[in-house]
Amino acid sequence: MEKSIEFLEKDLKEEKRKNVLLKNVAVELANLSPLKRKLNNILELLDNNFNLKHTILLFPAMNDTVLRVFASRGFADPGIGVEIPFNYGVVGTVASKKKKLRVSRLSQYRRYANAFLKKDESITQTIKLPGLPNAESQVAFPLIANNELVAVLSCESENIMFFHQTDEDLLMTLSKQIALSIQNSIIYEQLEERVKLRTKELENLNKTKDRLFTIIGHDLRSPVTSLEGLAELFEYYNSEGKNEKLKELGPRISFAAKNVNQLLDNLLNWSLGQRDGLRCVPQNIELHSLVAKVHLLFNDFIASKNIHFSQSVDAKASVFADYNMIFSVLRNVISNSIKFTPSGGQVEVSTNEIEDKVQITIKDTGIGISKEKIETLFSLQKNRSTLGTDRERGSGLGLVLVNDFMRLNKGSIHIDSSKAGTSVQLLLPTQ
Amino acid sequence: MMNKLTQDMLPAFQGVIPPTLATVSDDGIPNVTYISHVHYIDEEHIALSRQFFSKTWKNINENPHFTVAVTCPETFTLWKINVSYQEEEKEGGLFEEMDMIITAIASMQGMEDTFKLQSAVICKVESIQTLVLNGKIN
Repeated sequence: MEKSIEFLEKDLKEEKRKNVLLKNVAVELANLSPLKRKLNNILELLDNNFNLKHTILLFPAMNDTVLRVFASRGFADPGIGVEIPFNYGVVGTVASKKKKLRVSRLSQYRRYANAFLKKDESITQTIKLPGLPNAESQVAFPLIANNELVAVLSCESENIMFFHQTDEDLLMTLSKQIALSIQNSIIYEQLEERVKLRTKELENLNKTKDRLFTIIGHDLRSPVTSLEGLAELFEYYNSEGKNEKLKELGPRISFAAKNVNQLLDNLLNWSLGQRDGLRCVPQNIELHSLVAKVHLLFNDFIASKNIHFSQSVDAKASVFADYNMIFSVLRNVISNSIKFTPSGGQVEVSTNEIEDKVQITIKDTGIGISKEKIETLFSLQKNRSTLGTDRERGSGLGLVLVNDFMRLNKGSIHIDSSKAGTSVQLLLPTQ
Repeated sequence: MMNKLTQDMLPAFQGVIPPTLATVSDDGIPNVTYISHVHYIDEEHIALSRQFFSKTWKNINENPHFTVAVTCPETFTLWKINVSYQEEEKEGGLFEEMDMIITAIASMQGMEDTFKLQSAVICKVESIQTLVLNGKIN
């Protein structure tokens, strides 16, 4: 009877101790703090509550092939950042098997294994984890949350009798909570990191948008103003009854309107592309009719500069790409050629098949593009528009868009230029 | 005499003090050896890790009744456990658990091929005798 009361008292004391311990641990684990602080707090907590003085926390890294030390406590060399293979030693075995492991009498095991080793000691002790030189006991726990190994906790002691079995079981129960707590801290840090990254992305996006607005402000205003001027002139000639002048004015108004239209088109497509809203829907496109369509669009323009436009596009030539994008690419490249070719010059569009691709070449006898300029042509940040041979204005947007569209359609663009003219080669897949 | 392992015996199964294993051959020749540790399964079963022991294994196969002496490293209580061999396991949870410690030690020495658990030798506890209690021979 006396003995059973004594046992009950002992049990009660033990349960009380566990209760206090659990309360302490639960409070700390519920705190959301940055990862580094969280890990140090956990190790401190194990020291204070379980008397675990020499501890390491290792995280799986490099696709679960190594374990890396992230925090340690009670060692001369903290060894942060040291890596060991996933199957190496007590800690590595715990990581790969996801089960706790206790090893007592470590010195004996060391001697035991060394007896078999003979002289070949080169393979041993090559990895220096933080550790006690005379460790006798080691317990390592896998910290698992949501079926995922979050970390490995390793505890060492020079004492052969350390870490009572009941505490070991209690810590095993707590290990899930510790794992979850660490995982939360990791997610918290990742979220912070993601917010930073996202903010940077948004800032960049905003810069591009600002640039876009500057371009619109600058470039859309002038063609619209010139269109307005032409319309006023039309009104004036009409009131004066100058029919000959009106006839001359017709193509110019038409061209100015097309110019505005095309620019708007470009801006719209561009801004859609910037929001990842531009979808590429590839289809078979017959190049002959498409080039003819572009020719027709620029007929007035070509005629006003007295340019000889020729096309030798194979009647069967076709590419597999998004129709609207390739139409826009050809409009931009061909109108550039017209723009930079002096009166009386030539623009020629031709195609030839290269393996499973088609090369469209737009060649002109224009003023050419300098090497430095070619390098900046495809960058929105750097590219500025150059006036045409008849002082035609551009937006600096066209080729940026062309490059984006070609990339989206698995194509490429190459430019050769000299003072005798420019040749633009567009390479697109046939299927 | 007890025939079930008790909670206060658990520390004796942590391998702090090496247990002693005594077997007898068919023709009555005894063999006594130290082993690294005895694995606790439940109050009626223990397991031994079979890595090398050839003579012990031969004896167990000839005579399945043998004795293990384990010591509690906290109180130095010494128990003699009479067991009988039941079966050996070469896979499964128990095998893996026992294999872990061997793998861990061997991997540190680059000797994964030499140190391998052959099997977990499962034994039934027949009777338990307390030989030393409170520092006195019982």
